[in-house]
Amino acid sequence: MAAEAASGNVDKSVQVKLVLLGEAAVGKSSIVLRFVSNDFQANKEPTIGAAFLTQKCRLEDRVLRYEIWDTAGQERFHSLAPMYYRNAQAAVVVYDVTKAASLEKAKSWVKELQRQANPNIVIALAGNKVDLVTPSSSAAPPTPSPDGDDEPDDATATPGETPSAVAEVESLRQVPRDEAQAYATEAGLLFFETSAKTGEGVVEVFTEIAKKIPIEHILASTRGSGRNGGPPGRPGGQQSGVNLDANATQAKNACNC
Amino acid sequence: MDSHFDVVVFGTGLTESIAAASLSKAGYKVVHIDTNPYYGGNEASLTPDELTQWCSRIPPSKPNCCDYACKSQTGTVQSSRQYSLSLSPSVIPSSGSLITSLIASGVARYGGFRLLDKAAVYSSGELKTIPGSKEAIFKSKDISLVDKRRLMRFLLFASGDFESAKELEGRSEMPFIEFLEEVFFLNQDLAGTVANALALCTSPKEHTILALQRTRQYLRSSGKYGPSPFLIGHYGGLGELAQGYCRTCAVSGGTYILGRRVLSIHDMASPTNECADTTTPRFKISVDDVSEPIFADLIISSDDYLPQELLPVDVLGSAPSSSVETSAFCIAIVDQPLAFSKLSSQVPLPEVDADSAHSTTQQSPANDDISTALIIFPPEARRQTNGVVTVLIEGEETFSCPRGKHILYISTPCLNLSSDANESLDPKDILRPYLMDTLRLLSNGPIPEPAFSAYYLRNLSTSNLPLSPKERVIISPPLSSHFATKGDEAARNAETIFWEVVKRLPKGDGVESLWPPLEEDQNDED
Ligand SMILES: Cc1cc2nc3c(=O)[nH]c(=O)nc-3n(C[C@H](O)[C@H](O)[C@H](O)COP(=O)(O)OP(=O)(O)OC[C@H]3O[C@@H](n4cnc5c(N)ncnc54)[C@H](O)[C@@H]3O)c2cc1C
Ligand SMILES: Nc1nc2c(ncn2[C@@H]2O[C@H](COP(=O)(O)OP(=O)(O)O)[C@@H](O)[C@H]2O)c(=O)[nH]1
Ligand SMILES: [Mg+2]
Repeated sequence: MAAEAASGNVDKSVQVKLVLLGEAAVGKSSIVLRFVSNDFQANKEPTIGAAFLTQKCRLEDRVLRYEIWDTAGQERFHSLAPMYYRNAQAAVVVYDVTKAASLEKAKSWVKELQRQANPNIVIALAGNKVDLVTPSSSAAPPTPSPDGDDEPDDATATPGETPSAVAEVESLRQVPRDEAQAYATEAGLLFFETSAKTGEGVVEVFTEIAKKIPIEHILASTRGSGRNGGPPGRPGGQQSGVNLDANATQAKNACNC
Repeated sequence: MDSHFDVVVFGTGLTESIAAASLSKAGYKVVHIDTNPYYGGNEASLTPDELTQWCSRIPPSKPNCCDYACKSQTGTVQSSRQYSLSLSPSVIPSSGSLITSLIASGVARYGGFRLLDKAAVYSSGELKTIPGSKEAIFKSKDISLVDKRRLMRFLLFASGDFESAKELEGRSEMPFIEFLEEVFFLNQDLAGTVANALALCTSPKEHTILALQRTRQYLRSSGKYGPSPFLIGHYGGLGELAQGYCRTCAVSGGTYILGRRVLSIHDMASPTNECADTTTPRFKISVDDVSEPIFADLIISSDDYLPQELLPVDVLGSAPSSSVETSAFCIAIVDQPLAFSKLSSQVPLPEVDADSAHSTTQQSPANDDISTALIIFPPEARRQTNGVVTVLIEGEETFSCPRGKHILYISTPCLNLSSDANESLDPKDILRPYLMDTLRLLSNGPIPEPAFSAYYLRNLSTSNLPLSPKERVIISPPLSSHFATKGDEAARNAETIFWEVVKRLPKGDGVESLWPPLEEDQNDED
């Protein structure tokens, strides 16, 4: 807040581009849907149908406006465009705790990000679908839950998922928490286990990222002295850039004064 | 993967990408395939490393409408990833089909744009700035009153609907300069300046109609977003926009497969009855490393993907050399600062502007803020190819290179060449003198040697491709070489393709517009 007040732009929160990465079907889109709409849709690809979603995130001392880019399925055949991860200030790299191979994939994307992305990028590693391996009442009840809006577990597409006993549930886990945590610590990533289905851990991912974002750095680089110190989230909004959507005559008038 | 698609699109060039996005948004199930590991096809923006690879790529054995030849490259740069080099350098007119499409489709939100800072014409050893704005307050002392009136008359004509005007009758294919002299009595110098600086002719013989259309667009574009009529796309321009359209397609459900070889495209219709059965898919496609075959009912493709049997015979091979248009290109990276202050004197074209108040306060960026510039070298008899040489300079504020570096794109049409002269053309011989001239003109000290440079020829077969060799195959034509019109051309071609698909593969509920109204951004207020 101090930074905002200082810049004389109190009502505008800081915009942060956040991208999701990870193997297909680990639950990236579901995590976004949970975070943005507090919703979960089992067994179908949640279509986002928007260029990106925006979601405010309030902390004690700051307000962030996430611009969340989902892969739109382009990860399926490794066809993500450079535009996708360009200028991302945060990334959530997702794997599926019931699929060991998905963590290996996640590691290779973390490497890519560290090699190519903005050097200040904040990366969180999220082991998703913990509901499948947590024998708690909120997560994977053996019978349909009484409140009715929660589908039975076999409604999700994840193979092998018919948990009915604790032992069976735990055997689904292929990535031990400690192992992923150790990797995350070593690579300097935030780490969470999440369930888009129950909501467990999802909001934390985004609030912990928000705390770690070097907000002053972003402010300084986007409101610089007329030159672009750093890459903007959306260059269209830059003072040196042209916003095509803005009323054209406005630009012209601005020239007159 | 549910493998039956309505439309398969081959190639992620700008035209195909716009078409794919519009169809996906209209509810068509689209699969979009490119054998390259990058988006953008002939309009791609590449890193220097990728460009080096591109230069050493073996040309395809099958003749295509658009071929690249004589590629050569020298030098390397640090942090290759921080550069976006365009295979199709361009400026985007502020008012035109591409801008309209970018706004209507929402892709403008993905892209960033910068106004062209400076445009200049080379004239007797100097660079002279071209004024960017329109209408007539003539201030130049270099031009007589009579000439000003004549020029005024021409500008009025060119900004209107001249297509059916009597002045143009029987003259639309006349060389533009002759037209200016004959119909508007402009003297030779002024006619040349208008042709080079406003109409952006790349050849002295250019047809009047095309030059007039560009002049009109120039006049209508200036003032829309600022003094210059042109925008430069961030991160390498058209290649970045192609990625934006592809993302839009994906967001509406399109499937993307990049960097895989297309093994076969099989037409399953019986030869006697083209569209016998509407429930079974028409084409079966197999792609390397994708286990199941892909089925589709209609193909949109740049010509280089299609197997012989899906192309009409006359497209291939036997195109006479006269219908091949060759252009030479150079991409260079320099890391010394450029002295744009040398671009200060005005071209002897009257200041043209909307109102006098405006013209006096015309906002040009201070010289050290200049990040983009266009320099035009008029045709010179002593040099090899006799076309206009265009130099487009992009600096850090276009986000296509790191701070302190500049990218120079140089191009020229290769005119008046017999077919064997064509064989021996070396793009480096043609363009390096202009590269060094430009650097000399823009440098205060010693002339910097570029850190990286690449040269190539682009051969564009102008034999008119049928848009559609078969009812279910639509070919997207390659874009012309003109740096100021190809983006608009892509948008127009994509629109034509869109409506052809709607006609040939009707959707149950009908399709009313190319781009459905945009939804507001998802709301987030808590
Ligand atoms: C920041 C970043 C995020 C990524 N996120 C994902 C993701 O979420 N899911 C996913 O499946 N893949 C993603 N990729 C692509 C990933 O890097 C690899 O292409 C993919 O993992 C295949 O690896 P590989 O070892 O088989 O081949 P590699 O040898 O790594 O590459 C195979 C081919 O893909 C091309 N390629 C590499 N990166 C990209 C890219 N970003 N876009 C287009 N082409 C590329 C290479 O040029 C090469 O030709 C991402 C890449 C980057 C840089
Ligand atoms: N049980 C369970 N299933 C999940 C969870 N997250 C996603 N899924 C399911 O996993 C499948 C793939 O999810 P999706 O969000 O489309 O993954 P994406 O391809 O990474 O975007 C869908 O069937 C989801 O319903 C989760 O936390 N728990
Ligand atoms: Mg998804």
